[in-house]
Amino acid sequence: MSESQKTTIVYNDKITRQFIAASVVFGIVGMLVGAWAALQLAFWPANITEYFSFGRIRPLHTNAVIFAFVGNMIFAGVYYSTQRLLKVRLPSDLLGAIHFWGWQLIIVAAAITLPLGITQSKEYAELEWPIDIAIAGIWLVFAYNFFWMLKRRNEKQLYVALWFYIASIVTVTVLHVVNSMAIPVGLFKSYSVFGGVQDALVQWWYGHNAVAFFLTTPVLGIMYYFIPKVSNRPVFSYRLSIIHFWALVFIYIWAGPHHLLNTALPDWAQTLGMIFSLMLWAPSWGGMLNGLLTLRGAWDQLRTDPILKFFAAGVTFYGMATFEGPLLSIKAVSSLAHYTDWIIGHVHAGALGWNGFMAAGMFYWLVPRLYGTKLYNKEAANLHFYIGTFGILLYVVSMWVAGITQGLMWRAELPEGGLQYPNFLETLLELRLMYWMRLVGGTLYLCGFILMAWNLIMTAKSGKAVDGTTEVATVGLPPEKNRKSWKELIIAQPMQVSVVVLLIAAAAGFTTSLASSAMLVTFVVAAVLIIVFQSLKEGRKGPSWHSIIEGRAAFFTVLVVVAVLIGGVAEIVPSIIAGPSAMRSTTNVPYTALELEGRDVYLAEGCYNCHSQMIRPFTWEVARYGAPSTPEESVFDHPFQWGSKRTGPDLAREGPIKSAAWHYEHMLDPRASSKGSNMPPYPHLAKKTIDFSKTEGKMRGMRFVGVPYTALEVQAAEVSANEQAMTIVQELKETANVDIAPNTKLVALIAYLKRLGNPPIVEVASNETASEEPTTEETK
Amino acid sequence: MSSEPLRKDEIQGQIVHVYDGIEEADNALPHWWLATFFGAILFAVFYWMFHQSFAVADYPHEAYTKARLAAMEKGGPVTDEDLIALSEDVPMVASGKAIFMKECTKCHGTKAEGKEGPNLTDEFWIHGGAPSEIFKTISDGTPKGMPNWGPKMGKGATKQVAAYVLTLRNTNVAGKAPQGDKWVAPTE
Ligand code: HEC
Repeated sequence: MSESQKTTIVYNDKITRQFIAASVVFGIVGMLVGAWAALQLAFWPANITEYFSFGRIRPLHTNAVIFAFVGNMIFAGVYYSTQRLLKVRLPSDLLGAIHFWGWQLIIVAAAITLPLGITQSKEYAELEWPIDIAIAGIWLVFAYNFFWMLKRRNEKQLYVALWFYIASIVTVTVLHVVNSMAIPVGLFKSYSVFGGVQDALVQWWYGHNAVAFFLTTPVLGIMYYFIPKVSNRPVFSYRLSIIHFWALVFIYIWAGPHHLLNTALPDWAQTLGMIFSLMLWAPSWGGMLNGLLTLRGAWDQLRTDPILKFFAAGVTFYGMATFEGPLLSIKAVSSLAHYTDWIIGHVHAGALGWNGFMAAGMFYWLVPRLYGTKLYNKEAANLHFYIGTFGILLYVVSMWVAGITQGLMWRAELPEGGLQYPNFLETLLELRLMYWMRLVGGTLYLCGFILMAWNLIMTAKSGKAVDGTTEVATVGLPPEKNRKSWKELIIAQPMQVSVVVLLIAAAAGFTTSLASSAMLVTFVVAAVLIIVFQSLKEGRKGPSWHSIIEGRAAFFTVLVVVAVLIGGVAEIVPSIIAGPSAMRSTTNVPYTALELEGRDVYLAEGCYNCHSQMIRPFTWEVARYGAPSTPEESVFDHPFQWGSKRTGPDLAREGPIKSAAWHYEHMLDPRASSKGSNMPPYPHLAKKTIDFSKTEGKMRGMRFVGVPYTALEVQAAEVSANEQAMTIVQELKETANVDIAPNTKLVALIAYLKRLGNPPIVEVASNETASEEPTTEETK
Repeated sequence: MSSEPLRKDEIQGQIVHVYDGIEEADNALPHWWLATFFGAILFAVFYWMFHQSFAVADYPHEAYTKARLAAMEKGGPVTDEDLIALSEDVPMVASGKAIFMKECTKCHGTKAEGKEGPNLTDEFWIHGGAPSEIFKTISDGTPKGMPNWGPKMGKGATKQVAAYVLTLRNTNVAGKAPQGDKWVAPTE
């Protein structure tokens, strides 16, 4: 190695500046939309036009905050830190630019399509299939550039931040691709290939791990880079990094079913979701500890430096949210908290406290450096911190109170039987004050954020864009002595033990009941830990196995993929196999052509954002909504509509309860029949029409995903839709003296609502009556 | 690993790596953290065995069925509406069916197609086909040989069996010829 061969590397920091700017802009937009949604729940007239009603605003808010605000923030952090940790410039500036502009275009597309009601109606995966394909493409561009950096790195060993980036990139790819699988039935319309229970499982496997691998692991990587950088203190513990990293990526992927506790999901999956969530507590706190304990010896800086305040508070909020999460995953706690505002409070402790504060800390530190200057106004940053913290506390506390209050009211039963608060509205009106308090908290937080935007702009203006540089001794890594081959790494002791253990688990899975196999899986977790400890011990005699694989990016990546896939495969595959047979054996009847159209209206309006369709087996729920929901009932629902929040009542058995005339009046003006309701009015549904000639294509799409429509039913779609619509029009005319055109969206929606929990009776034995209906249609 | 010399930090101890100026120490894991870590894993194993392997505790829908049963034991007069609602409640019907399979198939056949007792799957009923009449027949028995199940099984279980029988009405399983009068649901 000759000392003379030094080259200077100039980092691509432009891309970091761009992503920071985008993150700040979309952060403001996303939070503004969030405040708007909060206002709508407290004050219904804030539902302005069909495009900005709550059912469409809420997905806009979640997508903007997750993918636009946090997405751009993590890209900024990943590009900045990875180049430096690997001592290499971004390999392709062009791919970087494509990534940046492509991502912003996707955000714009989301901002246009979501208010238009173009949605797959799967939470945090609402975007329709053309945009989904674009997301996959841009994500791969990002991944390509990232792994190219790894390949060309001038630093052999990978620092823990990079492990987290690798895990995030590969896992998000898998999650996005699997959950978005759908059959297009138009340019902006598709049906999920999964249905009912299966779709619920896939969706929450995705939904939970979007939180895990989009909002958490990349930000942990950012924490591992920026906290020691800013505080100038050594990271607390390398071995803690190893243990909590592997435990986190392996365990996280299993926890999805905790969103579906006490539902019609099979019990084994519910129990797995719960116990893996509990096991997540310590690995999550491992991250918090490594962040906070790195600040040992920097406590005095904490008093004066707003940046460290943001980091310390952000990590603390992370600890709080990851304690609350396992708590909420306990079946009994979930029975109280599920469907209530408690969950909203929980997610905002994470989003505002962890993501928002980590972003702020990172931006305040980076922008002065990226512009070769000092932070414009430190006092303003301090003020931001205090307003922000106060805002979060107001937000979280009001949602705790609202959630627990409503949960307790829902379940309050009288000693002689029956509900203490049989009127749903009564439990909603109780929360009014809390809804306003939430709005105040969120708005304060937003004000702090805007203050930051101003401060960052002034900082940038006071300096000039500069790109960082470094010197590296040689270009490329020196050839390695005694390089271990893949084979040697694979047959090393830690791998042997884990493979044996996994084989036992897999064998048990095929031979005996699910019960024992999943029991073994928990055993695997324990075993993996033993291995980790082992590999650490080995370190005393030569480099440990783990430190060797830290130098082997490809091998490391493969191991991460395997660790992540195990949980996904074990949970998802059984339901995918069971799905088709469940569909074949069911006595349930698919929706009629008109009901299917009505269901699409329900999806497009985002009714699922306020209404669940999943009655849990509790006496108080049954008293309010009817018998518990069964897996059977949603078997043809592509996508499923179980919902996750009950701002309004459950609709699973709505059909027999209310008349067409009641729905007509209620949809036009909810407050006419339900005083104090915060449901948006939907007058446009009575005017906008559906083109029934397209229904046939939709039914064909449904048939493709396995819904057993007969060829005849598909062909007769238009006729049958018109016919059923006429009966509803007539009923409305007779009972309410209303004139409405049969092809309006409202008529279809009423047909769907009347069908919920009210399926046609199938005559199993007498086949004459069963075959009667199609033949009459055929002759027409 | 970097080529810079590794130092000892007075708080964090020995520095084992340096990356881009970031020093990394290697402190022992806090004991309380390890305790929560292994504790949660142990709890998970036991919870799984308790609930899944040995099914000692009730699943949510089992707990629900028991609670409903307890409530039904107490409840007032049995109405048609109650029973119809019950017949749409899948867990309730399932436990009704389990009881039916155990107690009733001897006389009514495994498919309720009728043996000594009448066929329960047709439209014809000797003692009335309204839900409350079916409940009464099961509960009080009949002179011809149907035992009075009510006192034996309890009101709740009787309701569940009635709910199950309601789901059989008009499914027309081939078996014993119809007996009694044709029962037509009153129109609303
Ligand atoms: C902002 C949340 C929200 C949205 C969005 C929303 N609802 Fe509601 N909904 C409510 C609330 C609250 C109630 C209870 C008070 C009432 O009856 O208006 C309710 C009640 C209902 C009821 C009456 C249930 C009953 O039997 O009492 C129906 C039916 C209904 N909504 C259908 C819909 C449909 C269809 C959509 C979509 C087009 C929708 N809702 C969108 C909040 C919402």
